[in-house]
Amino acid sequence: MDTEEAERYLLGDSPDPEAAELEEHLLICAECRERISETEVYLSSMRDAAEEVRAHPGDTDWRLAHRFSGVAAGAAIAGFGLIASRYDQNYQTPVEVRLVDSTSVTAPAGRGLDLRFDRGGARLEIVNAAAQTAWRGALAAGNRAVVPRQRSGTYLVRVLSASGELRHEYRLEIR
Amino acid sequence: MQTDSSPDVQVDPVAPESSWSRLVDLVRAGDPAGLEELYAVFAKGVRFFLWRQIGPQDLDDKVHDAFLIITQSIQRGDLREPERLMGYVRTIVRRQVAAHIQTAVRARRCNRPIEQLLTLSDRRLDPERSFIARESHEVAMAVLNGLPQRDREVLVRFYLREQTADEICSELGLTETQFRLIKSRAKARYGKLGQRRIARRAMLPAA
Repeated sequence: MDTEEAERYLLGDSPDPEAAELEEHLLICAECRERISETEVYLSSMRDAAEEVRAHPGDTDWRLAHRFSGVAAGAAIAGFGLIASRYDQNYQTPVEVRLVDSTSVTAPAGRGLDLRFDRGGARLEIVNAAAQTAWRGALAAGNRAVVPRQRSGTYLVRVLSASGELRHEYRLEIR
Repeated sequence: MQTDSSPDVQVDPVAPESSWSRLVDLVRAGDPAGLEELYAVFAKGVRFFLWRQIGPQDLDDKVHDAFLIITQSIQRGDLREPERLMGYVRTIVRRQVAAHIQTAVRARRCNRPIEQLLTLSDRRLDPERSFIARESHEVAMAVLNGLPQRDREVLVRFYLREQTADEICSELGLTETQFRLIKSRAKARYGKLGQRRIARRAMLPAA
């Protein structure tokens, strides 16, 4: 029994003859019983996670941050650059990276990134290939954000509304 | 009372159809070795089936009852095709489940208004299974959050049963192959992330 069969059976999508054959087999095969149990846990987890995604499309912790104005964020970006350049002799100006919908973009690793988006939003989330949040922050006026240097890898860059709804998503390769 | 909170993981021998006839002959003859073999082959499977359908309560008694019914039926000659022994066992166990459900529903109707009908078995998780459920949920969230929006939408619609696979494919412009690929990648990712968690936990010093 493969995973697809197990999933079909547990979701009630198996035709009756297939379900009957499977149940007869489960009476005598411990390996397939284990497969059913694992698949059941998987389905239950995915269902609960999907419910949570439906109910809360964005991270609720961020919703407070929409109060930061674009102007303040822009000033902070400029200030960061100034302070960093004065005190960090190894400071390098962030690399400008233009992100355009449905196009994968490459950026250099080990450098700050001045991300410019073709469309607007309020917040930004960058997620790495391990589904960990690499960076979060506000989007400044002019649809841009300066993010710290990131490791090499593939990232999803998500632009969210003030309420946390996903507006746009971009693919970013850092090498 | 012994409760069975998880199915057995040993691999049972799978008997070919020809040996079903032999086994049925032994049971019909009342041979103790035959009865023992019948129990050895089917007990874990019957227990698994009953546990999934009606829960852990009185599970040992239910398994015992099932075997009593199966054995008596075979000895009465109710099983016309011995090679269909597996199908016969399945039928009897399903009837037992149906009877249990009917009895439970009737009992609840007598005692409570119909709006208060509860689930038929207490499937609350024990601490270990609660922990597994929590961990699995976190891994599933990580899987969904790590996906591009389209793939995430496919899985949310499918696992929330908002749409059938065909409807999802039609609306999102996917072929069946693409749909299956999205699902299998998610499952593979789930397995990988889950294993990483287990490995990380194994490296932590004991509390």
